[in-house]
Amino acid sequence: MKLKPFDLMAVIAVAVLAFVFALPILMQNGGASLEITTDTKTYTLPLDSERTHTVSSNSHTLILEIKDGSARVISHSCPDGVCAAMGAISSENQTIVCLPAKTVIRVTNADGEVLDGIAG
Amino acid sequence: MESRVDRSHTLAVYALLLAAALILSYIEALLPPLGIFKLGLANIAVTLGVYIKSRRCGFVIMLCRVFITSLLFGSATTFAFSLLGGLFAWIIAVLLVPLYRKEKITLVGISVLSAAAHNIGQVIAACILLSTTAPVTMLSWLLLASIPAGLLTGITSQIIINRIGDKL
Repeated sequence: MKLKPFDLMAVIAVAVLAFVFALPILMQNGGASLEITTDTKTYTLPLDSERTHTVSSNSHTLILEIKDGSARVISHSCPDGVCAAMGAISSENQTIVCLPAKTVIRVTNADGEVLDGIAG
Repeated sequence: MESRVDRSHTLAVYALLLAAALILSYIEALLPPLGIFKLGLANIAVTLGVYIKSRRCGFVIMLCRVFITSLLFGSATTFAFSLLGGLFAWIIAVLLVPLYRKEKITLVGISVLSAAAHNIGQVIAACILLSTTAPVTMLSWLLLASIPAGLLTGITSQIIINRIGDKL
């Protein structure tokens, strides 16, 4: 099999695009809190304390472990487990998304422990 | 007007490629999960559909595969998710047909771009389903992963088309 010039360009184009989308994350500092959006509400939690937190949304349950300024999903009731596979998040704007539970967990720099009760 | 023999032949090729797509989806479901990353093996059948038969063939294979695999292994969410990814991958495969005919690109480059388009489509689907742009932050990892995944499916597709492309 002989490769053609545009094959290499395709690989380079995708790599450049990946880098461009990585820039906003690479340039962020560590975040101060987590913004958790479930199917019914949005609230924030501080990232600096060591704790576990249970998120209930769309009849699914996710258990978050918050430790050393980062957060990850350690237990989930959905069959896919994509959320747990996404690993730990710590930089501002990094996210963990769970489609079955309709939940987005995002690192922000806002102050924690505020329930602003936005109905989704 | 196609003769009856031609129509039977077309039907056989569609059925063959769809069967291959479903088997590849099944094999991929058996593999240990790679987190949010997928090899996209079934995309081999869609690419071959476009390049061996026709644009329409690739589209039909993609649509049937998304529909059947969602029924077998997935849910309503996975359907919307795979459909947008599959559609984007098919569009890229179709757009690159002229470049392939001029021998400027092989199925390797096409598959890498298709895999990237598939991931972009899925991230857009996730953004729509969750009504937030948050999933975009995953895109850089997904795009990076689409290079090895696309190389694997692309090399496989090119080998298949070289060996049996003109016999189908």
